[in-house]
Amino acid sequence: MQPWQDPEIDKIREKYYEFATENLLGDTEQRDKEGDFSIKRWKEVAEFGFLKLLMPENFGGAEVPVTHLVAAIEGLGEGSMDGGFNYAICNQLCGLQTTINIFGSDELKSRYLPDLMSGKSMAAYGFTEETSGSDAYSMEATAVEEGDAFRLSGTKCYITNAPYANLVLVFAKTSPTRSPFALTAFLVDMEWEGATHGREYDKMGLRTVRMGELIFDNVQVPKSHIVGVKGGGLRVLTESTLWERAILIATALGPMARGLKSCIERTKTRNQFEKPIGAFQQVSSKISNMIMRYKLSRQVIYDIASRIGNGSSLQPHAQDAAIAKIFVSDNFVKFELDAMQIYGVRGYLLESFAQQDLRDSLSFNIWAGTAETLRNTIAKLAGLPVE
Amino acid sequence: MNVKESIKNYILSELVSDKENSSLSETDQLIESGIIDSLGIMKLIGFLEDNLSVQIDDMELVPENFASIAAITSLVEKKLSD
Ligand SMILES: Cc1cc2nc3c(=O)[nH]c(=O)nc-3n(C[C@H](O)[C@H](O)[C@H](O)COP(=O)(O)OP(=O)(O)OC[C@H]3O[C@@H](n4cnc5c(N)ncnc54)[C@H](O)[C@@H]3O)c2cc1C
Repeated sequence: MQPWQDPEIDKIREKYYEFATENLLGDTEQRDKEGDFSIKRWKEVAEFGFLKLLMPENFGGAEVPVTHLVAAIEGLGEGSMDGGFNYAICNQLCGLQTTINIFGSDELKSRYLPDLMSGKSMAAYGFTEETSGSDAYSMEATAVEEGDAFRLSGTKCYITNAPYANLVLVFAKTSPTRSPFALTAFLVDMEWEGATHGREYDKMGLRTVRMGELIFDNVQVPKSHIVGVKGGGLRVLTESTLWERAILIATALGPMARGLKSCIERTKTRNQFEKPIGAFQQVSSKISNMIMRYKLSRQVIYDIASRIGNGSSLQPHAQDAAIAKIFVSDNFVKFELDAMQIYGVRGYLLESFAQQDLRDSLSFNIWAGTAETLRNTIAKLAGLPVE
Repeated sequence: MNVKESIKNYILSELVSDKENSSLSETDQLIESGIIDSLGIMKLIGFLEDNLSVQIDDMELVPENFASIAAITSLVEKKLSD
């Protein structure tokens, strides 16, 4: 049986769906308008056990298979309208906690994972800078070795959860070259002297989570807070973005499942020219395309999720992760464009789910590798001399 | 094929894009000269782990171990004999 047909998967999805409909609906439309985030909900989802899912049992985690996490993400997304929130909480689990679990020392894991799992702490991913987006090596943040510590300086921009995160995985240059060993990853506590929260950004989508700047001004980071090894930042960066590419994209599935139900219902009940609009082939073919996009996206994600072990490296799946990210992102955007069109003017109103999901979907082609740079990765991994 | 030859063949066939480097010597500097870039190093580690049955630990991910074909070979041979 394929994982996307497994009744066990359906049960988990259902469990999270019910939890989300009971606890996470309500004020989302208002928060989407205001660009507001709910810390209360973060704690509720953490209490429900979501942030434990992939984590090792010996640190208090649930250590479930990766396909079970995908099912939970699907359920959360289908049962709530909170695209930004779901993106951020899944990002903490896939991009940050998993990275700490794979590369962190036992000391870092026992000190930080329990609070991240319980929702007491919140983490952010500090990679992007004004000078460095797709090109990691043009980063300007530096960490200079001084005795038992590194002195970290630099400004990280466009960081999800930045305004309230108390823990940050920061990437900085420990060598001025463009060598693959020039980057190092550090776990930085925002309470440390010299670490401050900078400006906030107002964005068009994923508005139920906030984004901001993080400033590090000569922060003393103990060597024990290196994630991986000095010079091993590239491996940490690659691994964490691979998890985002392969698994965080599952946050597209809930909105697609929810949108599909609404759109099918709408095309059967909205009459024009004395017929349900679903009787017009140009409308019904939109629904057919939406079903294809949704089902194939699910299969692509479950396929890769079923091939990766909990806490294991995704390196061998680098090309498949890039393919999954491009495929799902592209289909998510096209799906939401169709959903909006099916609703006509009602889809264009700020109260419509379709416009909110469409705005959210547009970010998928940017975070964790843009659609363009991922195509470069696929071609490079096939041996082409792409720059 | 011995370890050194497998590594050299892999680098030449998969990581070197211009023909000028087809006569790569075992002491040529791979990282410093940019022959192996960031994606290249990840591919190379995948190759070593899958084809030469060694597990590269994070602690071994240092420039010295990947500086040249000779350095990579000695890392792999040391791990195979451990
Ligand atoms: C919703 C959202 C959340 C984010 N959260 C975080 C976060 O938590 N932490 C964090 O560190 N960052 C975060 N980011 C930033 C994200 O990682 C960067 O946006 C991404 O790495 C791309 O960098 P850039 O936006 O600077 O684009 P640039 O690198 O400036 O690229 C601009 C354009 O040029 C294209 N381009 C660049 N290089 C090439 C090339 N070689 N070949 C072809 N085309 C190319 C790109 O594809 C893109 O279309 C987030 C972004 C979004 C949208």
